[in-house]
Amino acid sequence: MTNFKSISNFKYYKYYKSFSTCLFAYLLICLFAIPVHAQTLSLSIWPPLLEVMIQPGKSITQVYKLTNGGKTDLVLTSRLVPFEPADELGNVRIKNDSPSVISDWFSFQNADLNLGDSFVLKVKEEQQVVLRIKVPEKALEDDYYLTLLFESLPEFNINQSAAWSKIQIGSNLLLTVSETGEPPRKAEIVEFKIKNAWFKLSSWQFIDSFANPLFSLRIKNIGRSLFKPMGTIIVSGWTGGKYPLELLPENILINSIRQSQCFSTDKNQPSPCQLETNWKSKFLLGPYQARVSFGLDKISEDYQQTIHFFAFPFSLMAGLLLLILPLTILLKNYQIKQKDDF
Amino acid sequence: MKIKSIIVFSLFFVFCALFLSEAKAQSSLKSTNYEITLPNLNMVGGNTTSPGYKMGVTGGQTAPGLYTSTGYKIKAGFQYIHSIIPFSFKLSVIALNFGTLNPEVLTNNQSLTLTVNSGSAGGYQVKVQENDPLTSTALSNIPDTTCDTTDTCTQTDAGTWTQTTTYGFGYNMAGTDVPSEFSGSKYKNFPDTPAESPVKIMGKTPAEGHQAGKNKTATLNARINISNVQAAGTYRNILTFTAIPTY
Repeated sequence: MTNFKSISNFKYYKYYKSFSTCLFAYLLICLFAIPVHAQTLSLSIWPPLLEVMIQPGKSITQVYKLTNGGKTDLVLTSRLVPFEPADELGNVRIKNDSPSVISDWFSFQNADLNLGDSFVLKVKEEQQVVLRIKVPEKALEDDYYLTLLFESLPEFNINQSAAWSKIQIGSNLLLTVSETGEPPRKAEIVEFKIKNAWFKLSSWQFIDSFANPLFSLRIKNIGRSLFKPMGTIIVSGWTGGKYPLELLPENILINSIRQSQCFSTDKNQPSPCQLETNWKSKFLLGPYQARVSFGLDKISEDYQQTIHFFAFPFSLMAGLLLLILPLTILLKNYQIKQKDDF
Repeated sequence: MKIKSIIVFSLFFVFCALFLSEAKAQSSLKSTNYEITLPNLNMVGGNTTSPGYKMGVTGGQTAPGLYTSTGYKIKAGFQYIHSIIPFSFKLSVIALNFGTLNPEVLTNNQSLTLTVNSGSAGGYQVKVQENDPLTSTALSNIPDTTCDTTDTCTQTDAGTWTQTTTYGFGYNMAGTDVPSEFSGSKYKNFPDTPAESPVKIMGKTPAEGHQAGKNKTATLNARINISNVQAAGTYRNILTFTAIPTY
């Protein structure tokens, strides 16, 4: 019995030893194994936009912070390319085919990095790039629009059919060269109307009382420098109530049109220029006027335009008509039938 | 007496805290949630009270003589945005690895997720472009798809790709801030540099309803379909993804 017990213990001890070794190995792997992640590419940049007004002959510097938030080290290069407005919404179209004529105005002030050089940005590291803008004495007073682009160089480490990714991130730079600081700015209201009007009669637009008037405001820059429109659209009615909508101060570049937006104080977000009406307070009925007024880079009424509109419950009337018309026809038919019966 | 003084003092303090208005700079247009400071300061000058956006800091009317003495005005970031979150852009993989391709099937698919943090940008766009069609070392290539003959596609117009006899390389998009033309699982092909301009695959501006925020994600689903006579080889190209804020 004793012998059996000792043999049995020996057997269990063997299992115990194997189990302990496995557990120890597992713990070692858990503790020291290098985590395997999918290789991602991630870049972030600050600031996303830089606006500079500068005199000829002066220079400034601006720090850009570039961070590699991915899971692989990146080899990056930088370049400054001119851009133009791509649409009326604020998107840019990079002009790769036309190199900037002012490229020699820009340089990096970093000791170990020049504009255009490649550099390594390790995982989770931040690189501060100091951009220096030096405008020559004889520089033409004008606006210059550029994008500072950082791009990764792809690595080919898979020997299979694949489409490799290259990441680029940009920050826009709006440069105004001006001696006085007051370049000639001029705007034109290209369009100010209600987008969701039912129809127009002479200078009056007609809108359904149940619809929220949505204003379309397109402003063109016909001056010689960019500006931001700052002002309001004020809707006022025969009741004396006034409903203001704040314009969003967005840049409008030379010779371009921008569809202006508003700023919703309720949502704390840019929003369409739309009057939020409701049954309790702002149900529209009757004649109204909407007046847009704004200044260029300052709140004023230098530019203004007024439109008139009439709110009427067209949809309700149409609904009632659709209800009444068949009823009338039915009633008439019924009367005719009754007459015939007599 | 001492307790009475403390009570009186406390009441006075509470009264002050509750009813005295906060002192603010003059020359400002205020609402409940934000404030546009009148543009009379050089450099950064505006205060705002909105958690997400910032109205303030503006150029324009500097104090007379200030611009001429300093010689410059500089503004970083968007005037109406109160966020120091950097504009960031992420791709989930460094390559769409298709491995071994099977001919005449619609299952040679690979996807890539794009993530954008647009907190500090007024709006943004992500564009894509390829350097060349997929090309082998022997210089054979897999052409860009033109989709089914009944509903063709280009790099700008989306089309249907449901036929196994439709060959080529193309993609569709799904997710946040993706152009509407991709809806219904429609495909496009990639524009080639330098002849064709990069196309927008993701992004919104305030006019399109852009809401500043983190982790906006969209998925690019790429597809290759080859014929039985496609030359054997390893095919590759480079897709350039460019993220740029609005101005």
